[in-house]
Amino acid sequence: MSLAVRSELAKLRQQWHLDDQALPFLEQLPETQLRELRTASSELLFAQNSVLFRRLAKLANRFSLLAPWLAKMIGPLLTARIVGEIPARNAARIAARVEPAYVAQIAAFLDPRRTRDLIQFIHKDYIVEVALALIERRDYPTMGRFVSYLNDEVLQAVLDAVDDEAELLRAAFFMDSKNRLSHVVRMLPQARRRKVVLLALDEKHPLLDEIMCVLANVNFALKRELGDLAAAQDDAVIARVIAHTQQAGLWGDLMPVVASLSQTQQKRIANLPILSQQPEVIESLVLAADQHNLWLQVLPLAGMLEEPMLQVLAQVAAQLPHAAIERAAQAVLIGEYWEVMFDVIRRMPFAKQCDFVQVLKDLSGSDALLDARLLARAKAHGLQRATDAVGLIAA
Amino acid sequence: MVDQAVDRLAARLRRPARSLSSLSSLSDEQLEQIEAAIDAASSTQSKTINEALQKAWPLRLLLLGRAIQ
Repeated sequence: MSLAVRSELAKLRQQWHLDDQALPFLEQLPETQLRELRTASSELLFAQNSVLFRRLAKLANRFSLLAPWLAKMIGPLLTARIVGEIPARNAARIAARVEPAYVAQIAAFLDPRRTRDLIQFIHKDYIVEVALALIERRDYPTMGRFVSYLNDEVLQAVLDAVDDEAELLRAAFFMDSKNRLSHVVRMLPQARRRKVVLLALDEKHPLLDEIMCVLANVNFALKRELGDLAAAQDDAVIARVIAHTQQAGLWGDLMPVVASLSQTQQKRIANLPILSQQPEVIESLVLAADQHNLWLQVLPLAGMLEEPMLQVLAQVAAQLPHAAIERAAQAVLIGEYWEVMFDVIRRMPFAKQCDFVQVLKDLSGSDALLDARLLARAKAHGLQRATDAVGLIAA
Repeated sequence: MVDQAVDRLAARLRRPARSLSSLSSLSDEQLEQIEAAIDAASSTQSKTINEALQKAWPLRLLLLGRAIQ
């Protein structure tokens, strides 16, 4: 299950009042489908009893002085349903007279899309108080749903007020618009960004999913800045990250991060002894590269591998089905990764060498120039027997 | 059968069936469980609202007053 699916599923379960393990088959659905389900069922819940909600909203509007008292009386869910029906400016005036801790409870039942205008009318100091109350309640999914609706000034005030970076990471994991993560992370001073990474890698804090979620969703420059810092930690720390990624099946999330590291760090990570000692990790990595269409990012890493690792990779790649070999070969063709590929192929059993060379031949089609290049490089890697067997010849 | 169950769920959620197309990979039974979860959330909401209105008698009076007007 990818991190995006985990985040989305937690929000859906919260909306449906389910426990953490309920409906496990939902884990196989794509994140976008889970979000569609959540949005649709949220709209259904808001539409249910909408006549009553509108009548209550009219009352709240008319007796706005009493509204905070009534809000406490009817509870957070009904209040949340009514809020969206009150004109935003008026709702903001009423909210200002309700204690932030109670608004935090109401927020759990709100749909931020329906309160976009209201949020703009609420003073930033008040929103900070509500954010702190949400943290107090450990309601990170609700925080995450609202982040995208806060303007930069308010967001900065919240970031400044939350002094525990672990709490920021937990909320970031549930952000609806992950494409805004780079912007949010950039709003933190560099020292705090570094603290976020180091804190997450500290085994006292179970925050690996959260930091991986951030790294997977920020832009290339931040991936490199934060990823390099993480990769520079000692082998034991990296081994813990690898073990967690393997156990949770998160290679699809982590590989693009590794591909964004500086060359020095990439080379170090790619040749860590823990990888060559655990062929099952390499197998998962290769399968994830195929499943998530990451060959173009993985092949340059393969080019950095040294002897024991290349041998392990060749053993794993030799088990790939034909369709996966074709997809890998397409990436080789696009990225001109011939040297890496032949270097791996030459370590395979002869029959498998022939399979790979056959795929390359089919890919080349009738491109005589490419055939000639392939043949020359294959021969240079000692693969002439396979090229002869397959009939790859220069025109 | 699965397609029918997806259509039914889409109708319940007032969404075009194509927007739930990934749900076709699930079994009938799983789709029924999703429907049941939505029904349960909906009925929890109704119950909570009814209880809230029971407790909030001044609000009921105000609503009644508005209705009489």
